[in-house]
Amino acid sequence: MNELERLRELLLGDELQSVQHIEAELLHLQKSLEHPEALIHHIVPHFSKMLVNASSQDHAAFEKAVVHALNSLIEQASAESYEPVIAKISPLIYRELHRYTVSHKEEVSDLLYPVVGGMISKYVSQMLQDMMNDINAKIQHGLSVQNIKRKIRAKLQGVDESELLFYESMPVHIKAVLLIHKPMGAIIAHRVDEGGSIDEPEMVGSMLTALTDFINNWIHKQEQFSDVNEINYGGSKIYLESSGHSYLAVLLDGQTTQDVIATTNEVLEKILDNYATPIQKFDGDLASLPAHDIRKLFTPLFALNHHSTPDAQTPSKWPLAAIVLVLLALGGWLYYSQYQKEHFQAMILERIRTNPHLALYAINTAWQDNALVIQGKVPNQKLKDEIFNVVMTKKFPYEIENRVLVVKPLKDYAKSKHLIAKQIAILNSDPHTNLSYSVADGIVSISGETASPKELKQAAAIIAELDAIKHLYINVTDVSDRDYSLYFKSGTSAIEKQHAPLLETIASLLHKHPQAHLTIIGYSSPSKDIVQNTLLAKSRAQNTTAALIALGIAPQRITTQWIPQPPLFRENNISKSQCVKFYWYNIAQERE
Amino acid sequence: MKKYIKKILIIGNHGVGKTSLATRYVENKFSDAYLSTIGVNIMKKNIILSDHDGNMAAVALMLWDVEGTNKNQNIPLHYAKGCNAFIVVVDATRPQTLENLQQHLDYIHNFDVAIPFIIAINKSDLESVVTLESVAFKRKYSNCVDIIKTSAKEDDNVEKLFTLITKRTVW
Repeated sequence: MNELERLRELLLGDELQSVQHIEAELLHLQKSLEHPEALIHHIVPHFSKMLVNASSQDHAAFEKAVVHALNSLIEQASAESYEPVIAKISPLIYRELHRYTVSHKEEVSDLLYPVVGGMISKYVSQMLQDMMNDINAKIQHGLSVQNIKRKIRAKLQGVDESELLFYESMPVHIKAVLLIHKPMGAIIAHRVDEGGSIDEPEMVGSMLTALTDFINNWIHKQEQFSDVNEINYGGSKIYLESSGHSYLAVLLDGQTTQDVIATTNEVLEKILDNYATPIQKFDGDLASLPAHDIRKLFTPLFALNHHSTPDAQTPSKWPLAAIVLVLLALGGWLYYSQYQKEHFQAMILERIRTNPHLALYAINTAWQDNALVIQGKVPNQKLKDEIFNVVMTKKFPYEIENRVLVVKPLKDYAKSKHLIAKQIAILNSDPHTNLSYSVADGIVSISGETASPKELKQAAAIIAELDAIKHLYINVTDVSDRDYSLYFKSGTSAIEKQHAPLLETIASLLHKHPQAHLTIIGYSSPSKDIVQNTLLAKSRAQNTTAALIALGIAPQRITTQWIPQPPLFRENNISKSQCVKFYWYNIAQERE
Repeated sequence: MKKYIKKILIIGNHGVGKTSLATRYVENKFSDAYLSTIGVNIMKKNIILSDHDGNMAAVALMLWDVEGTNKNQNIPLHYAKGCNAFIVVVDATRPQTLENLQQHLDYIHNFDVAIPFIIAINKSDLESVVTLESVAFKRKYSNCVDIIKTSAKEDDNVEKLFTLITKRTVW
């Protein structure tokens, strides 16, 4: 031990041991700094406690300090690169958002609605606004033929022009056209737009038929409806145009515009012009109908896909052309109005002239200040009043004035005779009426038989009103109850001798009234064997038809039907139920 | 080869196996669609037929499986419009369905007295109460093509049933 060490020992004594201990501790700490993991391991438990203590003692100050530190950290990290920050935070945010959205759907929806809803509504409004601007521009500046046509069409249909234009502005895409045999639901021909396809067209045809049949037969059963004409599915539509034995089904996206409806009508008309009979007789044999040729007739419908909107035409730059077009439109409109009036006038005149009571008198019509005036002379007020009954059967767009005069006729024998002849001829147009008459010295005699006693009474009243007529004698047999039936023995359907007189009468009536048509219905007894009854009723009707054809009656004037039951009110009379009955109808009257 | 499209209506009481017969025959389940609301199930099968003379025909067969009826319930007549033939299905295990057979035949004859039909006694894999003999009297109908015991479950006579009736609509 040297002098210095001895001195140290004398001065520090016991503390020397403590200093050595401190030196060792310092050395240990220095070593720990060289290994931070070990240091963290020691500090972390205390750090958590320290944070908890700090936040509980002065929460506001602690929060401020932490936020500041975090902001600095994020800023610093972001300044270097966003990606690592985003990569770290995104999954956390996404997971939390997802969890919250699932558990608070309605709240999230309410929260987002003002933003998302606003965005959507802004987009849609903008789209509609653009469309309306487009429409307005077309209305204001359009002097094209198309626009004038549209104006006329809007007027005729009674709709607003902008509404019509709105529908026209909606894009239409014809995806497929199918001609379907209505009773079978079979596809006769179909065609799809370029690039498109349709799975199982036969299934589509059958399903459409089943659906429309169901709707027509059940839902519309009690109502005066025609066939269903539009079915919506997804975002598309099926527009159906129906004829007697077929549907034309047009599958389209967009609105069923007037163009689509009109073109579908035209196409169906063309198809029926060419193929109505084969379609009617179609029994599943696909060779009986030329599908390829029919498909060609669908072309106008697909042409609508490439049709440039009528509005592509710019407003006329040439005033002269515009004036010409306006004049043409005006001319067209005037011509149409005139046509409407003439059509209306002709219809009124037809009603008057086909009425058996009014047809005898010279009644005419004329236009005065947009009102149709009925003029002429009739012999009594009753007939004048009848004009209104005949004419006013439905609401008309024009005013009608009845200015017919009631004038007591002079004793014009020749004219009276002519009127009587006309009345009798009208009555004789009924196949079961056979009247003759004579006029001499103001005395009229009518004789014969009639199945229409009510009509005879009305005619007699008119004849009796004639001034030239002093007396009217009627000697007419009422045959309205006459039984025009052929009866058959049980289990038979053959035409026998006793049937001949009635068959000849029926044949002569048909010859006498070439406009008349006859429906023959065969009946049977009410026994339980439905098959036997059906065969008998059918055979009775067919044999009767054959007998009339043999008597020179054209087959197309006879309709043959059968019902395996007794006729109405003969259910309990077996001998009267085994029969054939004749039902007349006059084609002229039917058309009227 | 001539091409045809034919519509055949399958009728019968509830639960006699109309749909099972049709699906067994058609097999392709993707081509069927059930319009349960309106009571008809339409299926399609393309088949090739040949007759004794070697004539061939391609037929798109549209099977209209009409919802089953019970006694006194009528099948809507509009489904039968334009159909070429009927298949009447009875259940071999339920005599009640045989009792309603006459009702179905009346329906067919009211629709068209000459239209062909075939009777299928289905579920013949089970203990049968309805036998061929018990419906033999139906053969008096000239338009009754045949009466066949079938089993949709065991695929017994199903092909024969549909082929026979379809052939009758073509030749």
